[in-house]
Amino acid sequence: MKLRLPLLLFSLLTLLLFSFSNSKVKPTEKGTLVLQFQHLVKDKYLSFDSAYKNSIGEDFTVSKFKYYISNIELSNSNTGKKHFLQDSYFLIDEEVVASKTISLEIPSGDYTTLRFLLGVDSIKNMSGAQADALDPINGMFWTWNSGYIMAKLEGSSSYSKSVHNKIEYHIGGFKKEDNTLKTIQFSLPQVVKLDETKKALITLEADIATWFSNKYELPISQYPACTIPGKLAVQFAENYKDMFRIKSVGTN
Amino acid sequence: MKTIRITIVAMLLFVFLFSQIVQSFSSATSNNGKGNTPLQQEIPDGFPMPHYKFEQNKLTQEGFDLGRKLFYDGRLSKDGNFSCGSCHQQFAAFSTYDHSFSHGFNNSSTQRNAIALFNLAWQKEFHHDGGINHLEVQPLAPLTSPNEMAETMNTIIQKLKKEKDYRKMFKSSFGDEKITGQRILKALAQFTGSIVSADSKYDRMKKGIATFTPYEERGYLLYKTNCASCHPEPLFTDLSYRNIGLSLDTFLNDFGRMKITGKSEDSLKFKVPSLRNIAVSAPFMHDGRYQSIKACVEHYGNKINKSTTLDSLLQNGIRFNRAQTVDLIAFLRTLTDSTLLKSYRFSDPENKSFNNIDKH
Ligand code: HEC
Ligand code: HEC
Repeated sequence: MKLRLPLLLFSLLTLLLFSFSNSKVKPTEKGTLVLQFQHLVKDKYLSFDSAYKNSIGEDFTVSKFKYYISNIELSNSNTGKKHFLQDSYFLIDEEVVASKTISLEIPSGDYTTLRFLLGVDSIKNMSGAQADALDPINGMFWTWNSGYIMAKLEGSSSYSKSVHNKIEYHIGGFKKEDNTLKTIQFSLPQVVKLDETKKALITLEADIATWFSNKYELPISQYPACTIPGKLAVQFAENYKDMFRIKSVGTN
Repeated sequence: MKTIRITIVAMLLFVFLFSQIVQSFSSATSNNGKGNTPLQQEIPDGFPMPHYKFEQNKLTQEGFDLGRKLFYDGRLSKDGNFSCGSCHQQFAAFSTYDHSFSHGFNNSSTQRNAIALFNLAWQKEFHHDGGINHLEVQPLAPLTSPNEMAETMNTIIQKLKKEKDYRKMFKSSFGDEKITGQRILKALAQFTGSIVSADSKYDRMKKGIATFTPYEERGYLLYKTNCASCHPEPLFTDLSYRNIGLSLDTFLNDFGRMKITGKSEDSLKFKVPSLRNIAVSAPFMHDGRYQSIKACVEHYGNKINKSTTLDSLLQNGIRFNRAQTVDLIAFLRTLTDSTLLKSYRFSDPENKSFNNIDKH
């Protein structure tokens, strides 16, 4: 009988501990941030049926356009508050409408800066079999020289000397001087306020014309294809790292 | 009496709660193997720590069995004829017996000799040029050709989904019946990563349970002075890339490591292969140009083709007289692991004619 009380206490304590261990995962308040990607060639919205001209004056059409967005971070340059989205990888694909809108749960607060990686970081390039956006099934993984294709653009051009006038750019490479990873950062034109009741929407535009002429001039006539890591891939990445601009920031 | 009863109740309560907590933790690691019979990775005495430790791919009997079935299943190939096991034959230490090039590859520019498979968990990179950076993604190369990759992996998944056996095995390995590319790759790695070769006469000699003949003993010394710098014990490879002066086959135009790094200093360099099991894994070299161990040994003597990237250790060649060649080959033959070649565990699970071999 004497032992009864301590034992009861003990079981109560375990119960208590258990409920604590459950309640400690109480979520911080979160808001939803939607990133929307729109694709253009200069000032015209992308359509697989249309022909475009790059700044060098070469005509081309697009049949495939997709790229990885990862390591997204929102921050506030005034307060220093930061939120980094761990382990989140998105494949934005012109062909898959739903993929062009991504919805993120972010702790409530005011944010002034958006940052992300265009591509898949080197760690994930070396971590074995992956799923979801990183599933090799998506056609964005090189099997003979392990690594992800960060961005892919395919189509045709009368200036291409390849078979069927094809143009084919599979840009990737993550090692040392072959690194094509690009960090994109924007100071947002207005503060994004997130809380449980407000949804924020950032619309980004990506201009494909930058691929051919920006820091480097890469005419189709000379470079109808780039499908391995190396110097040319790095030049394409240097060009397309400026393809994004913020079109609008809104709340609703 | 009452106290005892309460003690028991309290204990039970505690155990129950504890198991709940543990469960809630373990369900967070979703992609890990869920098989319920854990297996211990085999690390032979004297081996270094493996590079691949099954950390993100918990080694279980269920996962291993699934990987074994997949490895030997022809349905993984387009026309149903080529399983992994058709090119990687167990009796040849999982290389292709007697063929320079295994059949079935599409891409003519990468035609190479199938590599014997063992001790893969100690490797960081795979293939003759080291182009593959992880054991789990390696199968994507043989399973798919780069351009039609997406469809092919999809087709494999569709094919496997139709099989009740597979659905059951994926469930027992991963917790549910879902069949994904990632799960196929992880299961295959459970099988291939478990193939360990460390029970040759040489290994038994090291343990003191076998003795070398005088030939083998002399050959061992010759090996140590002439070959060990690139093929060191216990793996019998340093896993580096080297040019040993094999002349370029102008039909294949295979520049090896350079294809991966894009650097001219890597021209004609290939991964140093293990010397374990070479008595059963002919033909040799990345393109299978030599049919015998003797031809390989003679290569180092008088067939070395000089070029700017030729390994500094081989500038003057390595010559052996006839007796030494015999000794060296006698030693190399002690590296054959007949336990592995006959192991039931690594054999084709469908092969009913495996009765003549001990099941262990
Ligand atoms: C058509 C014949 C063929 C088939 C089928 C095949 N392989 Fe291979 N395997 C090869 C060849 C050839 C190489 C060397 C490739 C190279 O170096 O480019 C190789 C290399 C490997 C390696 C690298 C070994 C090392 O030490 O670097 C592994 C692992 C492997 N194969 C596993 C598999 C698995 C698993 C499968 C089934 C999914 C498979 N293979 C199917 C022919 C084949
Ligand atoms: C400079 C480094 C180096 C030295 C020294 C060296 N090897 Fe090699 N060995 C290699 C490389 C690299 C390959 C693979 C070449 C290829 O695939 O093109 C190889 C391949 C082989 C092969 C073929 C194995 C297979 O599976 O295809 C044999 C057999 C072999 N070496 C035996 C020896 C012997 C015996 C010695 C000592 C006399 C020796 N090697 C010394 C680097 C070396």
